[in-house]
Amino acid sequence: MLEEVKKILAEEYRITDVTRDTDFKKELGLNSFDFMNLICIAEEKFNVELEEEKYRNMSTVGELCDYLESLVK
Amino acid sequence: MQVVEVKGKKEQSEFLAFRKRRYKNDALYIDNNYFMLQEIFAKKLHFVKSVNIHPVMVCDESGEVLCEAVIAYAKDLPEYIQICFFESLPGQSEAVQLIVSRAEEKGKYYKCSKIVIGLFGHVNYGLGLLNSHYDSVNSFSSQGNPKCYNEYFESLGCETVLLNSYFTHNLEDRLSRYGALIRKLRRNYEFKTFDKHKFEYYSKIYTDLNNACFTEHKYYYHREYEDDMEMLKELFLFMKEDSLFFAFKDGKPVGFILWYPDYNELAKPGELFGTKHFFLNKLKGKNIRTAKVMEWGVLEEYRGCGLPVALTDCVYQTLKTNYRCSQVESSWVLDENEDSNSICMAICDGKYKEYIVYEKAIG
Repeated sequence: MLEEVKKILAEEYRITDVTRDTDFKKELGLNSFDFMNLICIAEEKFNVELEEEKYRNMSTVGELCDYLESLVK
Repeated sequence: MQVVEVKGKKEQSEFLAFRKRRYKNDALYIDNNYFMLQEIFAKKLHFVKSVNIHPVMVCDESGEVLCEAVIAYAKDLPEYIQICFFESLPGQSEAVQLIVSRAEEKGKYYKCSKIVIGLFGHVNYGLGLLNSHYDSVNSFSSQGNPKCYNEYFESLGCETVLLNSYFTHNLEDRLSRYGALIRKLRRNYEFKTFDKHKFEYYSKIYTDLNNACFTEHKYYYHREYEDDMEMLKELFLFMKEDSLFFAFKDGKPVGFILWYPDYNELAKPGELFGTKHFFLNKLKGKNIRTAKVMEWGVLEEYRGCGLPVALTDCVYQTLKTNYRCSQVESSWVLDENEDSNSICMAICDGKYKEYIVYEKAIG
């Protein structure tokens, strides 16, 4: 899943050099709309619906990967 | 010098004439407030019913006007006595002090605790004096004033409230980085333009959303349906239905965005904005380069899902399809409103003009 998320970040925001611990806001500089857009891209890509309560307080790439994995399984 | 209360038609004409003279040869100002003042004096506006108006001029020994303002008390904003529509000649700090003192007297009468300078009766009619970019022409319904106005009030030791506007130089692909978010919002919400055939219905939606979205905002107070109906009727003389978009969720109005072309591009600097420009716009289809997003609001329970992006996208798509505007200026955003400033930073290129409101405690 990490590779999939890294691919999205590279294609959409030209962001590389991402690890599980990378912080969306502090390290990647994503604003709240960028993050929401990332969620929507993941929803489209994996054909799932992410719950706002679950992703609202996410800060790292790893947290998003874990949540996506739990939905895609 | 003396303070003259503007009560009769003769004084009202003098008040307006001063304003006209003040800007006649000013290449950096187009007066969008002249006709509103005429309507205020004529008591034509419903809005004036809830506001006590005390226009004053300060004149020298020969009767020449040195500065002027409308001192206003809005019953629904009882904390403040307002100094609005302030105009002055340069170098008149003593005369300006007389207006402030008169406002203080009125404020004590109404039991206000503060004087506010830069509020135009209600925030929907304008807020803030210009506090930067003194060398550029004001856009439609934004303030433009010489720096000396700020210096007058700063010298009185007023507290300040800052406002920002934002600018986007190129609409092409400006929101494309939010494409998936916009697609989702378009699936989950319905976006409609104002419909003049249902004027009252949509106007009431606009008022209800304003009152629900902005109640907690500084200086905002409750709008009556009639206030916005008369304001929108005037705006719709110029703007089209696609200047006001609404977002609906399951049939319920939950957000809106209001924009219009910067009609001041039709006027020559120093001109009063009026009928001539209406015809230039309607009949001659003069090209306007800049669009102005005046306000947007989303009900609290629908915030945090990105609706401002989708509403802004409605405007940008309309601009690309139906207008020749290629850039966008925002109206003011209170500097203290972190959420709104973050949203503007995310959807605009960057900050543009700064505006300022002055407050002075009444002793």
